[in-house]
Amino acid sequence: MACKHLPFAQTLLEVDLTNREINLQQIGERDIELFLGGRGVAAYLLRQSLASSDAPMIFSTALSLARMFQ
Amino acid sequence: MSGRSNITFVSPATGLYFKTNMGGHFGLYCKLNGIDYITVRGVASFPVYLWIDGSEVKLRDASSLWGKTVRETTQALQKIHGSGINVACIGPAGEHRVAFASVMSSVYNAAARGGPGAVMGSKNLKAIAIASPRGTCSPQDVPTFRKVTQELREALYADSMADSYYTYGTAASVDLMNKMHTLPSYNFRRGDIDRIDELTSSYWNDHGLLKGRIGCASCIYSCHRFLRIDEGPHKGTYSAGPEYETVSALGTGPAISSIGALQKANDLCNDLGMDTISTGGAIQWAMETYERGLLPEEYTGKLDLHFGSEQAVTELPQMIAYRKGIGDLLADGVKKAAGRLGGETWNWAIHTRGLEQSRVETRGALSYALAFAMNPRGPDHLHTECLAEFGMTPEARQLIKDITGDEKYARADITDKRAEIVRWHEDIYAVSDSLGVCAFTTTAAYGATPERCARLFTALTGIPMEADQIMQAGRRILTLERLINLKLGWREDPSSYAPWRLMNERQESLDMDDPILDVEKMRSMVKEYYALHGWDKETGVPAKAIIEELKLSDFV
Repeated sequence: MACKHLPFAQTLLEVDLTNREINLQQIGERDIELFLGGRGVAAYLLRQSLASSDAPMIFSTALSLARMFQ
Repeated sequence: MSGRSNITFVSPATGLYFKTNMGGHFGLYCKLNGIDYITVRGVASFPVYLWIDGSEVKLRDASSLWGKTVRETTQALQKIHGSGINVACIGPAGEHRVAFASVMSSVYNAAARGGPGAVMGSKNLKAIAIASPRGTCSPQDVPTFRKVTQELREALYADSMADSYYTYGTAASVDLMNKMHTLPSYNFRRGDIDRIDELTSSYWNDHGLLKGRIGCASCIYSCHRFLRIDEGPHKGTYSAGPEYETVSALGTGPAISSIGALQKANDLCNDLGMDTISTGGAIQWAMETYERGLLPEEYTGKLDLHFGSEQAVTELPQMIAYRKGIGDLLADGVKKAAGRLGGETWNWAIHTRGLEQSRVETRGALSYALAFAMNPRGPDHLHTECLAEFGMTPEARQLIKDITGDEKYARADITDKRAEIVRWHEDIYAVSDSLGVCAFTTTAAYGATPERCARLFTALTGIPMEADQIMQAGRRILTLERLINLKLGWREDPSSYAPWRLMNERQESLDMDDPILDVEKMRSMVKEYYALHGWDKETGVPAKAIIEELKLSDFV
């Protein structure tokens, strides 16, 4: 599966262990512009879910994994 | 740039926002399987692991993995799915919800601080296993991307620290710090130990203990090192590290001078899935409590808990991970352990807000002291590494001049300009964490400048970004993290600026006039810091104006 960068978006895999449900969502360009990726977007996702009694744990990869040194 | 990735969660140690970062290849495997973020909610009714293979994502039964160590779990999953997979998993410490349990990727890469392993354990999630990469990633603007990365590579190769990181790893400065009395020892009572030789990376190189190096994905430094002990009671012990923090936490902190015992303790923490910094902090607190005669025999049994006891550092990790004996007292961290024993034991519990402090003598490094006090995750270096304040390289001195206007502020023992230095480092660190750039390239060596990060971001995404905008984005992330902590109950508390010992007891061997972090000294820096951020000077709450400027109104 290739990363889809046109238009720029990032993929969020949502895992609900209680109900054994798995969904894919997109992180949009506006959120990337504001929060860059990785830590920034993960903080945004955590804040969005704080009202819930079950705050998620969020794994985030590097925005820039494009083989800088190769 | 690297394969670094983050785990974000509410910490069981602090009850607050936490972000922890790990190297290796986990992030690369996610990315090349088409996934940028994974959110995990809820609790599985029995142990499971998450299997990701391109478009196939499944939860699988992990009952047979429960109870296994990190090595055993990784090997078992490799047996099922093939040796080319990447595994991020917890060990027994996570299963027993040790407050400082880590998540380990490829056995040796730790997302360690704050207890992400305990969160995974509480969810009955043993591991995430990812298939070999299937896809490719291409930037929007390939020629510009290549140009910027070439500039970055050349800048990093040319940096004064580059050769040292490769040759000696993160423990390069242990010997020097010991001589300068700034290497936390004896539970932060001293800044040195008498016999340091075996704990230095030059010793490991010279005596053939260093068996290999590896870098994170695409890294030029390869600072990750592997040591094997070839003789003595711990012969055959092989593990990654020890890194600088581990040398101090499990070596000089408990006054251990044998590399064999240190590497054994380090390997136990890796394999059981525990943070070496907090494990070392807990052991030191137990040692000092024991030596002061305040640890009841019901806790200690026949364990020798004197400073310098190799038995303590090589046996306590197992007891903590499985919550056996005194291990159960220590497994919730020094704050709760001191709370249970009560009395003066609080005074040598080296933590703030529940997180054991990183191995920095902040009484002699005031940017670090301020950074640790303001860090949204607690007293830790990996959010705001302010190495430049020591002015030890030409690049560091130039950076301090760029930030403050004058190179004379490149000294660690003054309060002047510390707020400016901390804020700059916070901003660039938030940027590098978000782009996946290793900290060494931004806050130790200085190749990844704001200008280069902005050009890199634009080349990757096609989204226009200037240097000042990307630093503002870093500030936005910091402010959002403060807002999250306010929601979770964080309140301004001057007594929590630093551990009690560091705010009340002098470290006599430090070469400075006033080696103590008293409240007034800290308060003056904090007020300046809040003013720079546009936060209320007394409460630390972001003001409406800065929230609007940073486009965070929806998050209050």
